[in-house]
Amino acid sequence: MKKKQVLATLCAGMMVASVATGCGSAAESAADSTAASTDSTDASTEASSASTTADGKTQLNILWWGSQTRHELTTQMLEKFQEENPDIEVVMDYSDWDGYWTKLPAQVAGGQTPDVFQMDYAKLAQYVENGVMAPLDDYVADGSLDLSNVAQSVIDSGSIDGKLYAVSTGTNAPVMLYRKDILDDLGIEMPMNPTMSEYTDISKKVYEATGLRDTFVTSCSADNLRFRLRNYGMNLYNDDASALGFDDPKYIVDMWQLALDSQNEGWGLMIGEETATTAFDSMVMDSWSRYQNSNELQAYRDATGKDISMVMIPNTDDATASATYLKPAMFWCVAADSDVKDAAVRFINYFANDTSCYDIVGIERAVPISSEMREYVAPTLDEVGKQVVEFVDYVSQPNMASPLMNPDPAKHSEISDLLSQYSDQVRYGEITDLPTAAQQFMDEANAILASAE
Amino acid sequence: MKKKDGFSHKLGSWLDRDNVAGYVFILPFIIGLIVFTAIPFFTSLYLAFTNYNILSAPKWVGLDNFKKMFLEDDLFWTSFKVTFKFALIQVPIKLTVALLVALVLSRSTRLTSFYRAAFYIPSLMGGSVAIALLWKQLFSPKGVINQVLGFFGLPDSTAWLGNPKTALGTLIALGVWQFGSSMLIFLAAIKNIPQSYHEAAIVDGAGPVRRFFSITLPMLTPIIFFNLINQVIGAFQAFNSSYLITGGKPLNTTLYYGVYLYNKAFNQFEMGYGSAMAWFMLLIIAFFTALIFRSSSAWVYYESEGR
Repeated sequence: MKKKQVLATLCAGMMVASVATGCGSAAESAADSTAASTDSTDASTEASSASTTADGKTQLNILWWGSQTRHELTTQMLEKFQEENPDIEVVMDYSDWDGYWTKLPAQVAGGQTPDVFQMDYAKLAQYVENGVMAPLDDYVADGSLDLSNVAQSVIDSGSIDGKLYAVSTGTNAPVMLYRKDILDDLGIEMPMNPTMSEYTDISKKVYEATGLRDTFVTSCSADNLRFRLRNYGMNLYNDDASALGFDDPKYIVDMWQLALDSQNEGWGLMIGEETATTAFDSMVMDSWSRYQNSNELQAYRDATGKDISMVMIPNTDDATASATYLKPAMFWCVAADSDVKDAAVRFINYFANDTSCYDIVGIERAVPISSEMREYVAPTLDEVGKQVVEFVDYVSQPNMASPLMNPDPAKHSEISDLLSQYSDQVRYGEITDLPTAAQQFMDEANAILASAE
Repeated sequence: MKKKDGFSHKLGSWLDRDNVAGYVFILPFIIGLIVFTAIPFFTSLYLAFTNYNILSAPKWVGLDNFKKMFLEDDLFWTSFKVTFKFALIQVPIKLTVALLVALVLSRSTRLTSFYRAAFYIPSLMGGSVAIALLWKQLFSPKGVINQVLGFFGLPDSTAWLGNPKTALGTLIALGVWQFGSSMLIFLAAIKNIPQSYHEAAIVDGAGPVRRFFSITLPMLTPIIFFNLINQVIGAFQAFNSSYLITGGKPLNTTLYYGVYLYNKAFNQFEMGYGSAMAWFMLLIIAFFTALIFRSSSAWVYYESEGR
């Protein structure tokens, strides 16, 4: 009897021990547990042993967001990178866009920021302010990060207060994706730089012929408002983001009115009437066009299997400036607390300047920033790739694009949600006095921005 | 054999005590409780009084989050009302359906076990993303529900999830459909009611309806009580269906408290505010649970009490 109890206690103790160690190795990164085995050989000399694998390689954590197309290409590219840099072992991690913005902050908060990670232009300022990224100027100065073939404007787009924190992967522009197969069937030609009324006329014709409806004019999102404001030389926020960048409610009212008209006339999609569960599906099931970025053309064609093409974002009929801008598609950044910054910079340099990288990824992360790589990659592209490069070239002509706005302030998502709240009420007919509602939104948004100071 | 020295003797007798064995056995659970529940629990209590955006350290702001919640944030109250309405409608319907189906399935026929499994399956899949997306498809404007309605000549163009009047009802229907786990518990309880009670009642000439209200229902009250508490807590914490199917739309009519909390914490990165909301919800759930417990003496019948 007593022996049994002792035995049981010991068994339980062993269970506890195994659970405890199990937890331990799961909680720490794989690096730490493998590092422990190498530590026994020369524990005293290796300061950054946590980032060294069992066979003495430097371990580099890389995190990105993207579609299936990107995951496959990036994985191949990173394998190539490891072949050329046998002393580095890359640990890859990726996610879709939505998941990324909960995954990355969680890792930052947990002190596990990946050594290299993708960053979006809109969120750049926020992350720099919070000290998440390492400045890269020293690496540019000592030549380990070669940006000599990169335009100054591109370098500036990743710089804040004169310090470089982020290296663009490529240049792209917002675009209107559309179903070329449908327009071809209807014998409609989409102008490369459409006005809003040219665009809406086509949208009406497509609706009459196919029943597919418009989601661009009805979305009434912050991005839509931004495009509209840019048409008149303004921006969503003022220069230091202490207030909205406009004080006339007219622009919001016009946006809402167009959405209401489209709903009343039938060619605009009502809220909640979408059948698609993914953005890709929406271009097959609900709509014939969609606002995206130029580098996403291939992914949309792959996912839908349809002949999708792209034109510039429609400009209002009396626009004085273009809504379109050229922007860094996304950035590579290095974590401020990374132990392996040298390896991290080597990867970014590889991505910026190595032909073997572009043999694999092509222009999936947009048109390369280095002029040399642009020339290298151009002849290797397929039809779709060429179309993307030509599009960026087209927008790069004088007066086609207007200057890039500052990165969005941290409060952007709250303001964007607020606008959606108002827009939904307008679209459901709960709000009928549009100018008053627009003014209310502006007052509330300005209060939010002021409180952030 | 060597004679035991003092220490190992003490250790031996310590290990022999029943309590120690028990504690060692529950140690894995205790560790889990501390690491994965207690620490986050108390951290969130601290965060509720801070401004915390994840990326930089939390800043103490006292009661500001609660002030903003109660006095300034309309959406907070909207989400609170939606959740309350959701719980108030879904819980009674779900429990009634679960009880009725359990009654039907308590008779033993050849197909009973098949039906029991069939009715339980939706609950097994209940929390899954696939079911939520299926529901979205079923109730979409061109979905199966509208096609069936159209077949019978009824209006077939309702956007069930896009119409502020029908969206919450559609989500409640999804919740009610997942009555399986309550049903199984009811079923077990019905089977537990001694057959002799029913036989005695039949001898006295009681019909099935009378027997249900005078025997089955009173005997089931402890189980109804248990299911009620479980379902009320579950309903207040509802998240999946709204987050996955409607995203709180249309016009915030399906904006569950949990979804709004998530938006604040993980989309707008106001972790402090999210924590404050979570703690308020904890108090609300505790209040209603206490209320149901209090009321139970009036309507729950325990055989052992001999009343």
